[in-house]
Amino acid sequence: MSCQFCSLKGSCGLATNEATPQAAVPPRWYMVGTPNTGKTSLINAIAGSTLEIGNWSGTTLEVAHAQAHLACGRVELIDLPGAYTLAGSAPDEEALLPALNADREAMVVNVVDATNLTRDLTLTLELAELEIPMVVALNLVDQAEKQGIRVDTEDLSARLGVPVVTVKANLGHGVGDLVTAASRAGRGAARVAYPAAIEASIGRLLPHAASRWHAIAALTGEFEGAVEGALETTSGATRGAQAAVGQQAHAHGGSNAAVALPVMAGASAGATGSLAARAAGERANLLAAGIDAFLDVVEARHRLAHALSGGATRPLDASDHPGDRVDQLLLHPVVGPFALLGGLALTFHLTFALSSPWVDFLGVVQGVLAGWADALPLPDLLSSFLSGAVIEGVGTVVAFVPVLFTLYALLGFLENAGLLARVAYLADGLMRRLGLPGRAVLPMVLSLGCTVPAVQATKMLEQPRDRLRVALALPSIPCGARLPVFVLLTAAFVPQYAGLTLTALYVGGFLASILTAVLFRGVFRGESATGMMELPAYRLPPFRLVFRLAWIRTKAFLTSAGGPILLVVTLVWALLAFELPSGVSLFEAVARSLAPLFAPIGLEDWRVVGALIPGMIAKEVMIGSMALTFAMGTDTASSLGFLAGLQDVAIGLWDAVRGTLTGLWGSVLATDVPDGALAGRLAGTLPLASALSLMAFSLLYVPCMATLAAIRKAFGARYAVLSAVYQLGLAYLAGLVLFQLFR
Amino acid sequence: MVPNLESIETRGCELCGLDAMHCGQAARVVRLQGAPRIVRRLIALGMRPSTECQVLGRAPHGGPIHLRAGSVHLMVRASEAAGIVVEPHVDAVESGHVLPVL
Repeated sequence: MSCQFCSLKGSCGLATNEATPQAAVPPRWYMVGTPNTGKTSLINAIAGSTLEIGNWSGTTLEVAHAQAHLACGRVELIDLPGAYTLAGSAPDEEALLPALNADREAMVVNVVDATNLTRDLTLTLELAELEIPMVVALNLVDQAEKQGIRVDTEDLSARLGVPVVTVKANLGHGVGDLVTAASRAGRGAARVAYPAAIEASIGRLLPHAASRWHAIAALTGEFEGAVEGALETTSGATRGAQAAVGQQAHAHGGSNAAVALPVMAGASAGATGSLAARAAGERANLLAAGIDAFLDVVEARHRLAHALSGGATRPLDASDHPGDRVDQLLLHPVVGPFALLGGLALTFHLTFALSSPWVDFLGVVQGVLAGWADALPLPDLLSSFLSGAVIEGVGTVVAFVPVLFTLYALLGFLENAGLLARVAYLADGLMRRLGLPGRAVLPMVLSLGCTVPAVQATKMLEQPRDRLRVALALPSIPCGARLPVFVLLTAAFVPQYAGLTLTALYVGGFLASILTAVLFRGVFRGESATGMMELPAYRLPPFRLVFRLAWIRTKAFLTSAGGPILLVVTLVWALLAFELPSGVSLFEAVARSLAPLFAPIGLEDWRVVGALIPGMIAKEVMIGSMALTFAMGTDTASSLGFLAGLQDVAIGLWDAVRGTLTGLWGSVLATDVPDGALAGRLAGTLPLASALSLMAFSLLYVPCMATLAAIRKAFGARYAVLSAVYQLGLAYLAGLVLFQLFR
Repeated sequence: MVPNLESIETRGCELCGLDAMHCGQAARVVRLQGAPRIVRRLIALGMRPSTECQVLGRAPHGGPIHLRAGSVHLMVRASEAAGIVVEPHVDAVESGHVLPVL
């Protein structure tokens, strides 16, 4: 049975020998299963510390993968996107089949949810038709038993013809059994009995198909369906990350994965074409005889899956699940929206409560380090470079870490607990009226905290087109870093209407964001999302996995955004540090030469224009820049002694710990009112129209380098450039309109 | 919108779209119709002909329908639910709304 696999490999003698089963274990294990079955948990349990996240070759799809050194050798574990069928009825599922097709050294670990046995076994039967070595990992057995579902794994294994192992993915139980079973991985003996006419058609197609599954999928017309929903946003830009995922996808390098779909390694495109043509003919003949091949195939698979599961499905009227009662409350038409708002507010509150004390602490450390650098006996330029470029740059990057880690962890928590799907359910009606899918509500709310994880969160949208347009819409929503800038500007220029103006800025930001998303819906081609979605059972999230993934994502941010941010910080430092022969700083010269560009929107003051440049690194940097140019003098740490510095760091650490604990209860959104002195000095420097224009511009132009880096990572460099150009244009337009209106 | 009329209507027609059912009512799926993309997705999610299903709720602001299909909970927009042709169980315990009409 296993000879076909190893004959391809050329190491046949060993693999068929039962005495040395290790040799038969394929080097790449693909985790396949329906969503929320614990595939990632299982990889984490097998090979925890090597877990990584990368983009699927040539696509923007994210997959977790890991290396494991097992008794049977080195194995690469790849977490394929959750799928209900192999044919791919949603965009992410379309990566599944090409991956399995292209890899001859693949083994499938089919993770099956014991509480949903019949449906999950339908996928198992499809996988068996694909004729790839397979092991079934039965997860969530304890929960199934609580629901009165008992699974006889030995019986199931005998009937399926593949090893069936019980695992507790989140606790790592059963991993040893799974590894042992891998050497017995089989191609499956369970064969779905289709109606005679369909079997005859399959028999005629089989010589032209790569596997029984391919013949059936061609017959039911599922290939066309998969190609129809081809991904639009794939580009070569994500190729950097593809190496990390492995070489499984050489067959379709940077090209559209869905188009490469029917091409089995070794089978020529011509043969596939003839398969599709023959299948269309067979389908037409069946239809003429009154047989709908697709429905009959689905029905036959379901019947066998049902029989295999021993009819172990939950009876319909069993409404005693605790989850049902939670749903009755959370999804109630009146209570639900309030619960949703409360939940989102709580998420938001926790993000700031848990992260802002640590951002402050990092600020203290940065100040102390800068003070020490200044005190070093070095030439002025060098010590200024150390404190102004190196420490400032690294500090700017590291300051993102607490916010990002907290938001990623919360997001993972919500997703794994089954709460995200409920958010989508409650928001879908309202969001759809705004021309957005319901799931877009979460990235948009996260964006109030930080745009970077929000861009990452667009991955949860079903359609690639929606991901892209929502990601491009996010920068207009005012993030946490823009709040202090607004507080300063409103205090300086419209002190009597500060609250009103602040509210207007937030409303304006959201409106601009929604308009952007609607605008780009017309620009990008692609399907719109369907409203169909599973509401998964409530579950206690696997905390260790959630934290590990949050840390992996934060690390990925540091490596991808760190470089660009450091570069721009160094550039701004150089502008400030060097002087023209006339005694004017380069910064002033550049700002003055840019000022005429901003005259039409009322910003002629070079100091204001100058502040907008470093504002592209991160918005809060604008404040420091204005403090500097409005002759406030630098507020950087006075050169502290070594011990005094250490003491400051210790106090900062204590404050951070205390702040984290107290912040959980207290209010955290009380932004430090920026020093009144700066507001006072700014007041009167700009007329009202110019001030409003400045606020609108700060609201809408490129939020920070990190956001651009996040967009580049998720969608490719050209969309990062598009976002930058679009936000600058939008900001300029808004400034222009406001300035002309209020002049 | 008037409860009485709705239940009479449901009893009158043997088959109806799933979007016409009210909360708590159970039914058996007879066939799926509509765009192939949507039908395929419904089947993939576990909504096949002969599946027993029950409407559990409706989201606010014209939002999707929450339903149970076999052992899974799904959300489906009303427009998509209209393509799910069902045969409501009038005598089912779940359809408490219908019983008082007797």
